[in-house]
Amino acid sequence: MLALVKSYGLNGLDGFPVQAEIDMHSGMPTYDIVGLADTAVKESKERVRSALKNSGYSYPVASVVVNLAPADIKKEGSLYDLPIAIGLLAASKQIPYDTLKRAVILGELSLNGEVKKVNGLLPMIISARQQGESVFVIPQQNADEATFIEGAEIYTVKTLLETVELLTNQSDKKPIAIRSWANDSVYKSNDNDFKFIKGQFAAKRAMEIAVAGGHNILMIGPPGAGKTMLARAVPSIMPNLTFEEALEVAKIHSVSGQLDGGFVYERPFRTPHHSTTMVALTGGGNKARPGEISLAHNGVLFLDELPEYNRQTLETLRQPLEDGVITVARNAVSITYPADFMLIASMNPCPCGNYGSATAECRCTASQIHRYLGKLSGPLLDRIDIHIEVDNVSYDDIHSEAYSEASSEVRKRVNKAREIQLKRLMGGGKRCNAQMSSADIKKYCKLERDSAELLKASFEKFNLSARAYNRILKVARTIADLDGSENINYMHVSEALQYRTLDRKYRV
Amino acid sequence: MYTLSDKICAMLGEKGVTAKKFFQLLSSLNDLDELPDVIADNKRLESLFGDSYVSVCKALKDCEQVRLFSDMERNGVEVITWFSDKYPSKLRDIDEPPYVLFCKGNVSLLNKDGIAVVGTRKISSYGRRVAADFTRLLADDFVIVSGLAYGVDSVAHEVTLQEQGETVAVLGSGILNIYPSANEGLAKRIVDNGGLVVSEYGLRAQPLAYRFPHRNRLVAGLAKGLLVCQAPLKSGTNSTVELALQQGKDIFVVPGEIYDSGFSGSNNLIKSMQGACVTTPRDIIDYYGLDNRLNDSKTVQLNFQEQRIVDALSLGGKTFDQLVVETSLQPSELNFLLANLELRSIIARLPGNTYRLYGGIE
Repeated sequence: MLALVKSYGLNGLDGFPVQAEIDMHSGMPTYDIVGLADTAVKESKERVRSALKNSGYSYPVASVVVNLAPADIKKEGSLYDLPIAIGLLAASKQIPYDTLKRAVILGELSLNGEVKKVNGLLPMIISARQQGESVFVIPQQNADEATFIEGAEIYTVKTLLETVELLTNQSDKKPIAIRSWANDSVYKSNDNDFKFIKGQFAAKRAMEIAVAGGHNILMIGPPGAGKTMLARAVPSIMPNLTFEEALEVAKIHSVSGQLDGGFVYERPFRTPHHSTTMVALTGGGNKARPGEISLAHNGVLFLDELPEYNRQTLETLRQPLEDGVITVARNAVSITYPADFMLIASMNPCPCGNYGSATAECRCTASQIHRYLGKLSGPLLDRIDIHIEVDNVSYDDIHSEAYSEASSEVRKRVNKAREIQLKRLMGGGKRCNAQMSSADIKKYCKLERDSAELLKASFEKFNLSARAYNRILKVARTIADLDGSENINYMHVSEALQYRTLDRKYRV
Repeated sequence: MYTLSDKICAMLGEKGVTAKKFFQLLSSLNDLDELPDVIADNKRLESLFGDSYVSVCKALKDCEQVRLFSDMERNGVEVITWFSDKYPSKLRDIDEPPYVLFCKGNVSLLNKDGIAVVGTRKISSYGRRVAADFTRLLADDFVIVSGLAYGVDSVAHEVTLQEQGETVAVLGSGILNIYPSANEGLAKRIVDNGGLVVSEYGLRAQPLAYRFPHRNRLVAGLAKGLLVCQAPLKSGTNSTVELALQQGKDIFVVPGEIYDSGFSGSNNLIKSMQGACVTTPRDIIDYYGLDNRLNDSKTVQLNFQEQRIVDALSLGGKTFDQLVVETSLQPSELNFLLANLELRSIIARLPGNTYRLYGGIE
C-alpha cells in the first residue's frame, strides 16, 4: 500500500514542504528513491534498513519506491531517513497509517535506530509554522533550536521506537516547553570582557564609539599589542541580541550546521583566516551555502591582518558592507542571505610591524610601507569610519590593579546611544549612525559655528582628504549621542578628528 | 627665446649626452659660433661621441628639435643652459657642472642662497622631527634644497611649503618622470607654490641608480651649506657630504643617539670632524650671521587641563595610554584636548598614537 509522510526541505533560509511517498508492491525486492535526491538521501536506504531491523521491525520483502514530492526540486541531506522509515512501517502495515497525517517528521537515522541531529531545522520549522503546520517530530539533539517557536506542538524523539510509540499514541510524551526569550537574553559573561583588558584606553574608547554608532573600525598596531583581544571583547559591549535578531542568526547558523550551543544567545564573532577564499567569505559552493559574512550577521566580522587578505576577496565585501545582504547565485539557485555585520579589521603599521612603535625599531623602507598600506583600496577604507592606533601595553599596565570598566557598564551607555539613534532615524529602515546617507548627515549632523570652523582648520592642518569629511561628521554624531547631547559641539568634533589616522596623508 | 646654443644644449641633454662629453666638445671649439658647424661635421662628432653619435646627430639635425621644444612648452618646462644668463654661477665652479638644467617653476631660486637639507629615506621619528624643526626655521632665511626622495627630503620640502618658504627639488630622473611617483603630488605643489623642480636629465629620463649620487653634486652645489638630519653608515647622504666637502661647502650635522644605527653615519661625521655639530637651527643662522630677527616667542594661554598635558609631555613623548594614566583624564576628554592642542601647534602627534611637544628646540 501507499504511505504519505510530511517532511520539509530547505532552499536557502526558507523551508518548503516535502512529502515522502512510499509505495510497495510485490515483485523482486528493490528499493528506488526518486524526486531529485542527492547522494545523502539515496544512501538513506542502508540506514533505514538497518535501523528498522535493529529496532525490532522487519524490512519488507517487496519492491519499494520512495518519491520525494515535489519531484522537481533538489532534496539534500539526511533528514528524510526518519520520515522514510516511518512511511515504510506504515506501508508494510507494521503501524497504523492514519497516525501519520498531522505531524511533520524530520530526522536522521543511525544504524541502531537512534535519531540524530539534522542541519537547518530551525528555518524549516519557522517556514512550516508560517505555512500552517503545527505538529512536529524532531530529533532530541535539535531540541534547543526549536524551543523558542511559539504556538507549535513540537515533540522530540531519541529513537525510531520512541517515534513509533509517539505516533501511535502509546507514549505520554509531552511537547517541549516553549521558553520565552527574556530568560536567555542576558549576556553570558565570559573571558572576553573589557574588564580584563588593561590599559588600551584609547582603543577601548574607540571601540565603544564604534559599537555605539555601528561604525566599522580598523586597528593599526604592532604584533602583540592586543588587537585580537580587543576585537574579541567587542560582542560583550554590543547591544543585547533581540529575539528577532537571534532568530535570524540562528537560522543562518542552523543551515550551515554551526549551531553548536543549540541556539544563539550571543552575537556571533567570526574570524576567517586571511587565506580564506572569496566563496568562503561571501557564501557559495555548489549548494550556495552562507559564507563568513552571513555567519557574522548581527555580530562581528574580524579580519586580522587586513592587508594579507587577497585583494579581490576584500573587494567583494564592499557591496554587503553597503547593503547588509549578499546574494549568492550558483548554477541552479540564487539565494539572498543577510550579512549585516560590524567589520573590525586589524593591521600592522608596516610589513615588519614596528613602524611608529615606542619600543622596537622598524626595518621597512619607505616604499615597502607605502606598498603595504596601498594594498587597501580607497573604496574599502571608505566604508571604515574609525581608524585607531594600538600600541603595546607596558608591563605596569598588565600588572596594575587599577579598575577597568566592565563590559556591562559600557554596554549600558551603548544601549542608550543606540536608542537615541533609533528614534532619530526611525522610518528610514536605518538603525545606527553608520548607516546615515549624505542626506541624513546634512539633516542630523548640523555643526555649530565654532565646530565648523574647527573642522575647516583641521582639514588644512592635518591634510585630511575629502572622504574623511562625512566620516568625521558621522563619528562626531555618535560621540554626541553617547554624550546624550542634541547638538554636535566642539568637543565631539575634535574627538572624532582623532580617529582618522590613515587619512593623514603625510604618514610616511 | 632660446638661442641656438641653448637649443643645442637642450637637445644634447635630452639625448643623454654627459657633461663630460659636452665639455670635450666645447673645448674642441675655438669659438662658440663654430658649434653648429661642428654639429654638422659627422666625423668630428663621431670622434667625440663614439657609438652614440648617430642618435645624437639625428637628434640635432632632423625635426626632433621641434618636438622637444613643443613638448617642453606644453609641460611648462624651461631650459637653462651653460650659455644662459640665468645659469647659476655657483654651479660653474663645481666638478662636472651640468650644461643643461630642465626647470619647472621659479628659476630665480637657482641664484639664491640655499641650505641643502639631506638625510636617509628611512627616517626615524626623531629624524623626522629634526628635519621638520630645522627646516621650519631655516626656511625663513634660505632656499631649502633637497632631492624629492622619501624620508628627510620629503619632510624638508613639505615643511618648507607649510612655512610658505622657497624650496628646490633636484631630481635624479627626468623632470616629467618624477621618482618616486608617490611624490608627484609634492612636486606639483612645489611648482605651484613658487618653488622649483630641476633636473639635468632628459625630460622623461629613467630613474637609474647611478643618477641619484650623480645629481647629489647639484644638491650640494646649489646650496651654501649642507644640513645632515639623519644618516646611517651606508647612505646616499654620504656621497652628498663628500661632494659638498669637495665643493668646499659648510657641513652641519645633527647628532643622534649613539646606539641608533640609523644615526651612525651622522655621528661619524661629527667624530671625524667633517661637519659641524649643530643642535638648533639657530646655530646655522648664527653661523651665517643672519640672526637679526626679533625673537618672536609667542605665549600661549593654556587652561588647567591643557597645562597638565603639556607638563606630562615636557619630559619627552608619551603614548595616549600613558597620558591617560598620568593626567587621570577620561579618554574622551583627553582626545578632545589633544586634538585642540595639536590644532594650535602646541603638541604634535606621531605614528603609534604618541604625542610630544611641538618644536621645543628653538
